[in-house]
Amino acid sequence: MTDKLQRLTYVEDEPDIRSITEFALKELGGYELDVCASGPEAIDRTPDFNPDLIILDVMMPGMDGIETYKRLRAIPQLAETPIVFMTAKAMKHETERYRALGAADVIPKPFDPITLPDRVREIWQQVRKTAVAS
Amino acid sequence: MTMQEQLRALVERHLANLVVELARVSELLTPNSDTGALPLAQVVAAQEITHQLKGTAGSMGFSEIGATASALDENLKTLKKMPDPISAAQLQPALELLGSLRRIAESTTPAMSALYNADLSKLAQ
Repeated sequence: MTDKLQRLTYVEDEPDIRSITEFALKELGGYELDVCASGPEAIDRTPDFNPDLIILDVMMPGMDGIETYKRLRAIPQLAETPIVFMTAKAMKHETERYRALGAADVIPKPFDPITLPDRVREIWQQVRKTAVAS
Repeated sequence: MTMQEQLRALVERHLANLVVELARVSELLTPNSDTGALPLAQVVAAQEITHQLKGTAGSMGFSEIGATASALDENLKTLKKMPDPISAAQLQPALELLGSLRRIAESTTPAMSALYNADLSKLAQ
């Protein structure tokens, strides 16, 4: 695990939310970003991009975020890569389900794009702290 | 294009898309003209769009639209659990919420987004 968060994969099917998140993470956060519009696209491209962290929408047509999560996890190179769900399905029982799957954290929609880069950085720091402790 | 201009362009495009998406929801929630009933499949499709709008509008700085879309989303989730088809009386609260949502969206301008005049100067890296 690298010290500094630099490379992010972001998976989202809805064009408007994809655009504002891309703007927030790339322009405001300064991250190097690979944006995927579907689960299959993410499975195809993410091993080569080799991100430090993955942000994944849950409700997507065809392959949803949960299935995409499981398939990404099955790729040996990505087995330990932190994955964060970004979703409007963020009731307590839903976030507990994502965490039980092994998600690093959950960012509920709607979110504030201005503070999103800081939120992602906080998650990264927490993940690193946990990794060092174990 | 400055970052502020880029952000404003995203907000403007979203608001235009929002009006189109709400027209789609309205079409889906139009009951059969003879019976007044609505196939459950149309409620399911309308709820999926509304659910997405709730997250997107709120994230684009349109909190009132996001909150009203959230109320409609909850109402449609309840309707989804009812037997097929949905009666006119069962549908009425959803249609009223949709009417409110469309009125709010149509009277909203991009400058009303919380992001439109956000100070980005201290954030850019």
